[in-house]
Amino acid sequence: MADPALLATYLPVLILLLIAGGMAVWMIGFSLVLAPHRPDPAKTSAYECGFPAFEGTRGRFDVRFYLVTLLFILFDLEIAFLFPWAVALRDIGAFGFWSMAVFLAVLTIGFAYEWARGALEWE
Amino acid sequence: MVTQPHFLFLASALFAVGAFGLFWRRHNVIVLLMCLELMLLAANLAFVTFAAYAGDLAGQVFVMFTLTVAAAEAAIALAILLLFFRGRGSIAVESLSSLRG
Amino acid sequence: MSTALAAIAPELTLAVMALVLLLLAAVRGQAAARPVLRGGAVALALVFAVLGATAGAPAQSVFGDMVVVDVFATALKMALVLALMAALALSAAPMRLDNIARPEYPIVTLLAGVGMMGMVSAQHFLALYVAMEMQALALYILVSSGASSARSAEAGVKYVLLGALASALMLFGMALLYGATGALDYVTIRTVLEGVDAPGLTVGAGLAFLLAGMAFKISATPFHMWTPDVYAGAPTRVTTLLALAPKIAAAGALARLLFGPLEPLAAQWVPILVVLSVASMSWAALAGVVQGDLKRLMAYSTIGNMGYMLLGFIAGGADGLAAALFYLLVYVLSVAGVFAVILAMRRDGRVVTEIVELSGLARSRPLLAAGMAALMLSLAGVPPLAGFFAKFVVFKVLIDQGMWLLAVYGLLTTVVAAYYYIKVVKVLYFDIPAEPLDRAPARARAAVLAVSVLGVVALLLAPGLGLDVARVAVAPLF
Repeated sequence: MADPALLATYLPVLILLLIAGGMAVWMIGFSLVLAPHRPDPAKTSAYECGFPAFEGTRGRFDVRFYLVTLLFILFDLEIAFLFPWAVALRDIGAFGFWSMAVFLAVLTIGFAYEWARGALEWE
Repeated sequence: MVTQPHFLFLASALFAVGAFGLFWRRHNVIVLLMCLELMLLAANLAFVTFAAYAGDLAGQVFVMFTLTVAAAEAAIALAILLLFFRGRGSIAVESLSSLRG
Repeated sequence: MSTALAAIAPELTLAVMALVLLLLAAVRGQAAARPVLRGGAVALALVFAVLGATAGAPAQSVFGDMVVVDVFATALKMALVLALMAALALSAAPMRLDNIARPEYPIVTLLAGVGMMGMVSAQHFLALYVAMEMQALALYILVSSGASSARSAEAGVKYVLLGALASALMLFGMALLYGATGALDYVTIRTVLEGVDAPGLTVGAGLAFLLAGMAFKISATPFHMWTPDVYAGAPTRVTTLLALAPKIAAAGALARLLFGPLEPLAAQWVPILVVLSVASMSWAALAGVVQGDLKRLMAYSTIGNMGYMLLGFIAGGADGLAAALFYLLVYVLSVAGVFAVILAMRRDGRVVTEIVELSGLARSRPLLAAGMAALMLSLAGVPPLAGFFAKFVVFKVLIDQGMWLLAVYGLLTTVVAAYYYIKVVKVLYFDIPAEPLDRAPARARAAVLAVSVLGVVALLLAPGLGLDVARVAVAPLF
């Protein structure tokens, strides 16, 4: 078995997972068991803000969504570095702080570029 | 009891599933990308397993980098695929045929 | 810390310049294309100067032994910078003629350069992986950046898929080696592996995966299948870059791996390299014969020549690696000139790449044809051109190691492959002239072609010099 002390530090993650899973099961399970079920066509059709659905849900997305998604992925993932950095900031000192500052500066330049070139405009 | 070989077996199995998918399930380029992602994640699992059992953090740090790089790779691959779709109107693997190795 | 930053000054300079140029591109948009191209050239010149100034400095490991800066790294980085410069200079004219000058092109090229320079300095799996991905991601973008076309995008899709497969293989190999040795840095891995008598399954599989990934990167058969399609589909200016710089970077990274942490496993990796090398030489010689497209022909030429380069790795030792490095640099030098000629091939404003389009070029453009002919003869290994010396040196180290059979086989494939290089010369001089090619002033192209041809010819004057330089460069690895 691996170092138990190392694995023990992941205990909060396990507890979080259990609570999250439990909550989901609890909420959906109880509403399945307790709530009245009287389906009719209006209830089972897709909910579209009170309108009848305009089109099937399997249609193609507007291509612009892809662009937004691509940009989102890239900027979203900086979090993977920011969290460990924030936790360890006390131990890594000024060098750690400035490393992240440089990283964020590079990211900001990328952001400025995509903004200036109009990648964020919808039309 | 789940031990290190179990994790490694899982990682190798996932890697093999990804590789098989890449070579045999050739319908859609998006599926190929998913297979590649699976292979990368299998490698990550192997890294984390080794790191955990050796009590060494370097392997886990490696995984952070792999994840970000894989995301950048996926973003670029999707962007290129989009470009390809605009020209060809399809992302089926058979449409990758105007250039023949 | 300041010594660490000073050690990676070339990479830092290149990266900072790329970011500054990116900001310029953001502000000025399309209009920035020319200034950004100039800025890119200035950045590369600056980096070359920095490299030259630090070339004599003693070797040092920085960033927790992740990055090593020694003569080997500096020499390869200088070659890389020159290759990037040539590619950038050659890209200017075609982009202007096609009206697709964009500031992004030089910027992404510079960023790819940062990754390549990192590859030859990496002394840690993490550094190697990140640097390799940095160059690969940039190259994916460049390959699919063709203005016109579905062909370019298709090449991009293929390159991304197979490139990602290669990095997945490498990553899994790294994970297995990490598991077997408990370390990611080259020095510790080597120490651990030296203490192992018979490597187990984990080490063997890790080595195999790692080498398979590297074989993709240097396009050795049977991992070469992306090469012809990507070379043919990518815009020619990008094919130029692909044929020059990434090969240097990958060979540098491979040398650091094989003669560093994996040295104790030489008994395992030599047979793998023999298979890769023999397969590359044979397949390239056979498949190259039927190619009608020059870019495709150059793809097979690359595959075959990577096979010959690997012969130097197989012979092993400082002499073997020096021979491999010398071979690689001679190859890159001649290929730069060949692509300068291919980029000159336009008729009525359209790009043509078929070999027959060169028919009778000696009549209309004698200088261009003479240059191309010299380069082709050098690639074929005809004495007394540089390509002959390069092949001679590689075969000689093999024979010194007693590997007669491999040397003879290499010689045989050289003879077969010579057919298709000499066919090009025949088309240039003896075929009925086609319509003349367009004339466009391009000083950069003329300069690259001149340097390439002169280099290939002038090596005759001092055949030993290049090899001596290569010997000095590889010394830190042994």
